[in-house]
Amino acid sequence: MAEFMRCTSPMLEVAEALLAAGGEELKTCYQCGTCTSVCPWGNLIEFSPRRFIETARLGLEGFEENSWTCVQCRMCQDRCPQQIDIPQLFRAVRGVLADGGSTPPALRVPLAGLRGEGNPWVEPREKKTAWARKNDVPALAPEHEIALFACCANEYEARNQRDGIAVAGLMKSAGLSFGYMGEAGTCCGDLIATVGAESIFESLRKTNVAALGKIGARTTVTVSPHCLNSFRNRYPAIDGMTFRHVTELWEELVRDGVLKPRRAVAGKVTYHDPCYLGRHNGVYEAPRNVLKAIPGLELVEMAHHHERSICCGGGGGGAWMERPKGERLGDLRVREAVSTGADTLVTACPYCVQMLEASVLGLNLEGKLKVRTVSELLSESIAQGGVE
Amino acid sequence: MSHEPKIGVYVCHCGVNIAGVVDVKRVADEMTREAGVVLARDYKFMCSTPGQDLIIDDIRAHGLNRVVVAACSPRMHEQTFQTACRKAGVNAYFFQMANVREHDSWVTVDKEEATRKAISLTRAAVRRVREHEPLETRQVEVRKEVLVIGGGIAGIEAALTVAEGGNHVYLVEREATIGGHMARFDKTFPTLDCSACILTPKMNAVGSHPNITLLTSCEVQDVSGFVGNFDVKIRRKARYVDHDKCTGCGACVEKCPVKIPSEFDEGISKRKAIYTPFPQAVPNKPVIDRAACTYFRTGKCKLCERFCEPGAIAFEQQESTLDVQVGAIIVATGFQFYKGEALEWYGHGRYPNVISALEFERLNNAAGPTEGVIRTAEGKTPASVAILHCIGSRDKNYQEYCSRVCCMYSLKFAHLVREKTGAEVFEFYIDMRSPGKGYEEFHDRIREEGVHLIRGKVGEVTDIAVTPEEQGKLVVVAEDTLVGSRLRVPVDMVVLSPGLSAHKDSNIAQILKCAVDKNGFFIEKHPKLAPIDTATDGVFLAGCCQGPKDIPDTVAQSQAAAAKALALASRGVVEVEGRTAFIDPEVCAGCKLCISLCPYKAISFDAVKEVSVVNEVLCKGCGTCAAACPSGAAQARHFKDVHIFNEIEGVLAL
Repeated sequence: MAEFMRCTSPMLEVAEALLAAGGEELKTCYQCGTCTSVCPWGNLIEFSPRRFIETARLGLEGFEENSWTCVQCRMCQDRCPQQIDIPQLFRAVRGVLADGGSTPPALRVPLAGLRGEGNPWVEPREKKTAWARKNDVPALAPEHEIALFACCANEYEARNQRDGIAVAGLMKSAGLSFGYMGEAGTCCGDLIATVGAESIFESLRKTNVAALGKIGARTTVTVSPHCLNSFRNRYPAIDGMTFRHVTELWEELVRDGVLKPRRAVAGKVTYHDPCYLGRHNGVYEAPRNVLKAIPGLELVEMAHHHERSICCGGGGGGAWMERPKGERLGDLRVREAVSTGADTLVTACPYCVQMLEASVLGLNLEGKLKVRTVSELLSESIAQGGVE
Repeated sequence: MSHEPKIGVYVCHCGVNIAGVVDVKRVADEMTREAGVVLARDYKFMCSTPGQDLIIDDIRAHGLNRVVVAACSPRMHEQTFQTACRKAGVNAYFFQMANVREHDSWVTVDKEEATRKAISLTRAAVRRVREHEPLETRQVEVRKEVLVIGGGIAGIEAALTVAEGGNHVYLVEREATIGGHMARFDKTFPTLDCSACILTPKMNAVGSHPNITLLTSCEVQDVSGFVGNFDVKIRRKARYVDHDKCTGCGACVEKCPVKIPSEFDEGISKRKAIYTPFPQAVPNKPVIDRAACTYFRTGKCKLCERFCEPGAIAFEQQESTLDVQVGAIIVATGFQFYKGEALEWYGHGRYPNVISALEFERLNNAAGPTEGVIRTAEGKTPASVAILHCIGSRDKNYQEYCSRVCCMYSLKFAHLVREKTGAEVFEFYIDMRSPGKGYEEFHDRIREEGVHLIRGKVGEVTDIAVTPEEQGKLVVVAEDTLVGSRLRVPVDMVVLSPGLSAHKDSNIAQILKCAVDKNGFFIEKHPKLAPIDTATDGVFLAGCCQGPKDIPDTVAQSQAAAAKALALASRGVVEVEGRTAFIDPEVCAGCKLCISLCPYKAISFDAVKEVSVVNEVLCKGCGTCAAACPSGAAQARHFKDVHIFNEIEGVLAL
């Protein structure tokens, strides 16, 4: 009766494994399609988180191919009427596939780098603190009040080093009692967590939890929203420790008059809400308040702002995946920025910086649109010094 | 007195519900060892007629004066067995039930454990019943008048049914006219009856019925009393127009210079400061909106007064109070449409051509701001319209429940658009819910009319065009989940279909001390078997205030509530529970602690004797006073210390 073999049967053992890893709440999905209609990928490719959920929870074939597309932006989760953590399903499936050896080639390199050298750029571990030493960034001492936790990107990647330097400069200008964590810490593990490599994540987390538990500072400030998210939402609470993003710190310092942005920075800027700062951690106004305090700066909003911000495509391993032209989320964002008439696209995340600059290049907009961070712009406006 | 307790114990099998887990024979056997127990039996179904006869026969044959039944929950059959006792001449309060089903056999897996528990529970009941006193119930007369709160279709229908039954009704409505939401709709599904056409005859009937006192611009302020004897304080708001003198000529409305957004038209059109809400209003006489009136705000104008021939304008009119006494209260306060963030997400308030259900109804209504013409904010006929289901509904971020009527009214909207404009209609839904009579057929008809029904909840409505066809349009983005493609559909107009919410600005629940659920809807006594009663005897529910429903269900519920009110009045008396509290005046020190704690305001202070006294007709026997009384003067009959301690002993003894 071979003619009946065309129909597939649900494979419930597979489904059960995925449900156990991906969250029991998947059972309550009633397939409304909201996730798929708000997912930013829908503007560029055919990608249906809804179909992914249905295929996964019946254990049907075919869900594997889309498992690596999700950039963890949370647009779907925030609109889902059943409040399902859809990005978690993708992470869970990736974990299962990774265990089976199906991690995409593009991700194997950064993963190996993390395992080996503690950073996804596969740069030698010794280079970690080079940027700090070269720029006189104080090392963290027990009496410091604030620990600066720079992102691997600030440490190992040239463009983002400039942001790291601006951050350190601002902290110095504010006269803060701070030090850079440097070698005591290691990568926060965000990339790992989103591509399902649980065991590597566990070891990174252990190292950082131990390090953070030992330091004297009670506030740890991160440059990357991804590090912030790891510490706030993926790590156990560390006694007495508060985690903040640099923009939250700048907002407070500007409001209290400790940092005085006096120099005019002329330009029309538009702010891109990083997914991990905005939707994941609810920080929308702090960066804007900082920008509004800079004289000469005109802040305009793109069509999709705050909770509707469109992902740059850097999360969930996206920063390492190669996407063909015409299939880059960053392009959508850059075009939106251009249509506001802004000359500068400002953001507050190292991945966003990378992705957006890549899109500017790819769309031949170099010279027409600058990509900067909030820290860099604030730094330009601080009268004494700023960037060295 | 024959008050040597002679107890009969009956352990019910309840088929296999109890006997399948509990060794009922053993339980009965154990009870024969208890002091005072004359006999202990087990039987298959105690609640059956032979079961009850068993009790009656035993009482007569053995002179039993106490009865214990170990069976299901007293909520099921306490009354059944009490009646059996009464029939055989034993006071109903000499009966005690032990719940060995819901509290034991249904929740315990291990049979030995369940049996031991049944023995404990039954023994507790036996030891308790020994000390019971023969309490008396009282009968109180029931007033025949009925209060109906709310003048929408639910209240109207309830009022008319009671009035036709021969009893007097006070119909209180906070707006200036009755009619509720139905007065604002255009056509109703599935018959496409004109809403006002079927409603206004009923409104007129209310207005002219000799048995109905219509109290518009009034609010219920306070309710005290109990079933059959409610005292109601009604606040009569000032209308500033003497309706006895007013002839309804409308000259005042014409002359009034003030124009403000009309609430009736959802702000789409304007009304005057002196206004009649709509042409068929009942009463069909204007009222003055004090906050908008130039005279009240600045002391100038008074044009209406100048042009009023009968001299009916009365700026000096004051608010007043009306006290009425009724036997039953029907709550028919209705609903409001969901108003919240979910609407804003889809562009309501940002794009003028995104409108919500009630606004769309007003556009369609022949007496509405466009006289029934569907047109865009720019005044054009739309060539394409999108209708979006489930706005704020079935959504844990907003309202989790489904509002039952939105699929149907959305289909109705589709029909109206097709019929009036011939525009393409794209209707986006998650599930199509058409459960009523003629509803699925209506769904079928709409499909036949060429409406494009797309299964997929809309994610976004945007005005940013990506293709030339989208220029100047609103683009609706959704995944067609049946095909698996994400669509961008350019349309001229978007209609949002929000669900129904409980009123956010009504304090009737607090005034009646009626519970509401987490969504704000009134809680019925039992969701399946008592959807009209509330926990408060004499207070009944009708319509959407109890939960979202369509007009047929509302009307049915209203008539049922009216029937219950009429039945109460027809019976003429209510029995007042005997398990009330009493305060021993010899012991009471007059500290008044109990008075402040009583949730039913049933305790008063006798200034002469300087003691607190319980009004046993108001008392519900909750026991709060007894628990709080520092001297032990306040006791809850049937729950005295000796009863409680005996029960505890019975449970713990083994």
